[in-house]
Parts: sequence; C-alpha cells; structure tokens
Amino acid sequence: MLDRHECELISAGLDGELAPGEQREHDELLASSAEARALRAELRGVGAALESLPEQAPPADLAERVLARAASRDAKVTPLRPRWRRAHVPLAFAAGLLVAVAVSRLLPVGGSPLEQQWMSGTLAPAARLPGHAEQRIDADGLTGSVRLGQRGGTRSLEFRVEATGPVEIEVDLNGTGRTFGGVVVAEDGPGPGRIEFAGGTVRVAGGAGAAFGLLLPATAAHPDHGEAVRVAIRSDGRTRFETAFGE
Amino acid sequence: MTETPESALIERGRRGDRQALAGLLDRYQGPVFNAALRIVGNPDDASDVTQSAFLKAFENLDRYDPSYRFFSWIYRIAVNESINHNKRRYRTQSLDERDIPDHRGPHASAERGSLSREIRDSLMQLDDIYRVVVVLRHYSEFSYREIGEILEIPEKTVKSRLFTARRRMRDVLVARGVEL
Repeated sequence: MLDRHECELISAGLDGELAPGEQREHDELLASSAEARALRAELRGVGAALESLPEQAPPADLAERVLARAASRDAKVTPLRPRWRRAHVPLAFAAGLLVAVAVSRLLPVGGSPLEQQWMSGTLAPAARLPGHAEQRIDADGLTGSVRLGQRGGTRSLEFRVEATGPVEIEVDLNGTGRTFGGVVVAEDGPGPGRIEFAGGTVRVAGGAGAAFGLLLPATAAHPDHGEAVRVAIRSDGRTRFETAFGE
Repeated sequence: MTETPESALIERGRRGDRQALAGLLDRYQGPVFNAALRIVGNPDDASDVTQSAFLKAFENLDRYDPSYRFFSWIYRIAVNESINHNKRRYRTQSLDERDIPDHRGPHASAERGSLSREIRDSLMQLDDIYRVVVVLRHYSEFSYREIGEILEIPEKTVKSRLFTARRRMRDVLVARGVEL
C-alpha cells in the first residue's frame, strides 16, 4: 500500500516538480510498484479531464467597464476657486473626501417625459463651443461654469454650479439620448447628499456650491469629432442655461 | 508591430494612462476571467470578480513589486477575490444545497449534459483550498513555487493539496460516471 509521501511523489512527478533526489525515488517506485503505476495513470486521467475544459471568452464589455470604473475612482477635480469655497462650501467637506457615486451606465433611449421633451428639440438650438472651452454659467439665481475635461482617460463634463434653489442638469450626446455613465463629486464639493442622480438627470440642491464631473461613455459621440454634447440646466420648470460642445 | 513591454504599461498605468491600463487588461483579462470562472463557477460572478480584481490592481499599482511577475500579482488578487466571493455566497447558501455528493451514476450523468459540464460540476464540489491549486496548476500552469507565492503557502503544502485535490476529483468524477 502506498503511503502519503509516495502518493504525493507520484502526483508531483506528473507536474515535473521533483528535486533530483526525489526523481530517483519516484522512478524506482514506478518501476517496482504496480499500485504506483495505477495511481499515476489515474491522476494523469484527472489532469487530462480537467484540461479538456475549453476556455471561455470574457464578456466583450468587461475591459470597458473596468476602465470606466477605474476612471471614476481616479477622478479628482480642480479645486474650487477660493471665492467660491469661502462663500459657499461647508468646511466639513473640505477634508479630502473624494466620493464616487456609481450610477447606471447609459440612459435608455426614451426616458422620462422631461428627457423626451428636452431631446425632442423643444429648446432653441445652442451655439456650439470649441471642444475644451469653458462656458460660464450666469443666469438669474444660477452661476458657475462647465467645460469638457478628462478623468483618468475618460472624457467628462466638469461642472461648478452655484444656485439659490435646486437645479436639474441634463446632458445629451448628439441627440442620442445616451448620456453620462457616472457622477463624480469633487473633494471639496458639497457631499453626496446634495447631488442626486435619478432618471438620467442630475439634481443639485440649492443654497451651496457644487463641483463635480459627469463621465461621458466612451461609446458615445465624440465632441472633438464634430459631434455635440448638449447641456441644459433647469430650475422651477424653466431652462436657465443651455450650451453645446462640439466642433 | 512591437508589443509594448509590460513594465512600460505598468509605469504608464501608475500615472493613470488609460491606454496602458487597457493594454494590461487586454493581456490578462482572458486568463484572469477563466481562472475566476473555474473558482466561482459561473460567468456572471467571474466577470464581477475579474472587474473587481483589476480595479484593485490598478488602484494599487504603486505597490506592485516588479521582482514578481505581474501575471502572478494579478492572479493573487483575483484568487483572493474569488475566494472571498465564494465565502460570501456560501454564507447565504444552505449546507444542504452544496454538500450532497452526487452518486447518480452514468445514466444520470449522460442525461444531465456533456462531459465538460460533469468536469465543471465536479471541480465545484472541491473545497476552495483544493480547487484553487487545481486551477492555478492545470489552467494557468503556474509552478509550485509560484502557486505558493500566490496563495502564500509553502511549496510542500501546494504539493500535498494538489495530490488531495486530484484524488478527490477522481472520486467525484468516477461517482458521476465519468471514465478516466
């Protein structure tokens, strides 16, 4: 009867993992023991069975998902201007907190009535800006800026918004209804409780400044290639600001 | 076209270069996904585990020690993620569901599907500590030394676990009517 050491020797022999001294012992065992030879054949059969399993391709979108998530975790936003920070950002959120809020990847075509209204072209056409220009937001009860940026290799829209009341921000890519893949709240932003994402709309609570980035999906239209990224900001049911980035 | 050296991809990846990270994913997502698949047992969970493993790796690229193969490093993360995934899953699964050995014989075996299915199911009947060494050896072709490094166990333990795993696999396969 083979002991444990001899069994392990035969198993390791199949893997070519024997030291020189062990190799001699292994060979002698196989030469002298039918039981050892039988065990070797069995273990070899197990190995062959295991290795007969075919490899499976990973999901086609796996790499893209990883990169998008990595970008959202990496994200950091240029700090707010001192005037902004002094006036409106609570100190409690200035301690290096970086919050990434994962949200649904892409809007389905269709969406809420509000989205449909906006995407159906009820608004006046917006002037297109150069791809990386910063657009100032200056409307009644609403100030700040928006520009195209990059976070960890992923395109983003970088917002700084100061509003006296709650506002809703909608982003549309070339009229497809497919928009951003995530919300990233800046380290000196107002905290996740002040920014909500629902139904494809970002809602920012009023009364304080908010700085954040919206990640744009890689599969969507590219504003540097003549395609538009449209932004609309609403409050009290009225459009306060709209713009488009493109060629 | 010359392939970018792995060390260059890692260096650029540390600086957040998306293309470099994509290059690392391109090289390793297949083997990592398949290793995870063998350990956790289904493609959806393997996809989650693979995603989680790469995210952890990318977040910790600064801690990667180039004296080890990157391949081994990402595998270590993926194996740990897979084992943790199984622990979480087992906590919500009754013992009755997973501990009943299958002794239904060749007829039941033939009815239930292909040989590949039998082998996959048999592999899932092994305890994690045995399944993992089988996966690292038979599907990823790591040496005993590398398996020991990945699992942080001595080589002699690798050797012992592999023998036990193979013997248990044999018993399960035979009980399922698979001829070896």
